[in-house]
Amino acid sequence: MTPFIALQPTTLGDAMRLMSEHGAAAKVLAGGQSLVPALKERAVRPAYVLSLAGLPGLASIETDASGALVVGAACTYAQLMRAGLAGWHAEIGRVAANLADRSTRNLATIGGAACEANRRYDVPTLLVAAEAVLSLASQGGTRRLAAAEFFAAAGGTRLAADEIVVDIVFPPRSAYRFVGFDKFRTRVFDAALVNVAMSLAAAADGTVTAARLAVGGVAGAPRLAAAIERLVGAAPAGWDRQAIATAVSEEVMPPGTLATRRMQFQAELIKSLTLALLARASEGATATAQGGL
Amino acid sequence: MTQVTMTVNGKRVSGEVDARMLLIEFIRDVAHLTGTHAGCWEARCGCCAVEMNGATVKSCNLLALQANGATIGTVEGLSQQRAIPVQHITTQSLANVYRPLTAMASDKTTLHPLQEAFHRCHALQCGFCTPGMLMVLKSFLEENEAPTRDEVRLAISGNLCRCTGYQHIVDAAMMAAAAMRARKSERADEPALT
Repeated sequence: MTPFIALQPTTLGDAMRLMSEHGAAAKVLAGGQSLVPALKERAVRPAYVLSLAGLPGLASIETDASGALVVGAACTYAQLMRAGLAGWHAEIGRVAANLADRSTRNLATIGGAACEANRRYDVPTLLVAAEAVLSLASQGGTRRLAAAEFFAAAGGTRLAADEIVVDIVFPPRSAYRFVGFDKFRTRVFDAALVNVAMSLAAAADGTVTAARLAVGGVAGAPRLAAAIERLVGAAPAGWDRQAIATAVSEEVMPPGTLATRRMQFQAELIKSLTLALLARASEGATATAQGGL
Repeated sequence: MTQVTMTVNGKRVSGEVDARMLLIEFIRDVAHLTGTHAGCWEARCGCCAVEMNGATVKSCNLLALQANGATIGTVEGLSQQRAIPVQHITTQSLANVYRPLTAMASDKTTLHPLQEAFHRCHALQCGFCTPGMLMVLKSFLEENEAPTRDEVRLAISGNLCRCTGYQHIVDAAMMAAAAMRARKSERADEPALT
């Protein structure tokens, strides 16, 4: 590690002021599970490290008046998996429970993963598919940015130097009938080679009214696949799952561009993961938790 | 330099440290508890796992500053041991001792059920990963008293062992789980002191 000055504000106001002074030279430390390894490798050499640990209220999980789920940016995965979230929000807990390893989940935060925006992380893909909105606070006020805009296509985020992500807002339970996430990794503690998240809104009879699917691990930011919109207007019985999964895979990774074995494997994985999610959505494999379609 | 204070195994430890100091460096070099091993320094091997405020963390992957004011539990806190002060145990000093556990004055009755099970099941060979395995399994078994073998394997997915092939570690975890359940039900049977 290169030397740095540790900043430990105890109010959000102090934190904002420090970020406006030192933002460009500062790194924000939440759980540190991505930042500390990067510091050790000198991949980042900040002059200041600003810790969020002393700030109140950044680690809460609440439901607001509209039913939206407001997750504090410094919420750890362990907190999320134990929060007992209901409806499709439970999928957030399942994603958190299936990440990294026990000890890492006790420190790593959802906001940290979003800001790190590593292409192989699970959180960005989930946020984009579920249309989560991030609140970015700075001394000038708080702005809200949809996850799809927050992650820059070339990699990284659109977070300004003086901003801190304070919370992540997921739509209410009524917004979707089904949200599913699936990933492939070589070993259980590895980051995903490919991950896929899908959200479906449906009418009472199971006819899909909106569909959204994001694929992570293949580009700088999670890629949305428009091909999933073919589900709209059809009930699960009418889905041609195989054709839709193939179309999703070919849209995200066009067959002619697969230069390496790894890319060919990823294209296959996108297809099989999408198929698995479609099966889960239609068969109501998680009927008790999600209702199925 | 920053003042950092934490409670390690029930004892307050305080030190003036560099902002870059990692928790593992604090535990080993400031608190002088070398039971916690530093393996990979990149949060992969899990040898350095300790308990912080009741949850395990990889101590090489957080700054000592992040643990300021925290309650830390290390492998030394698992059982009463070393009644006879032993400065430094080496292979040589143990070579002439018929019962190494006696040399450490750590009677098996004072061992934590997990330590006892590791001993019985031959769940360690070189022993380098053992401190992390013990701490992670302790927190896991306290949360899940009757785990399946697969759940145990998932729980230690962040801990690498290059000797045992994990088989004996899982055996030990299952044995310890049974022992911990038995101990708990024994306690429940005891009449309450009035």
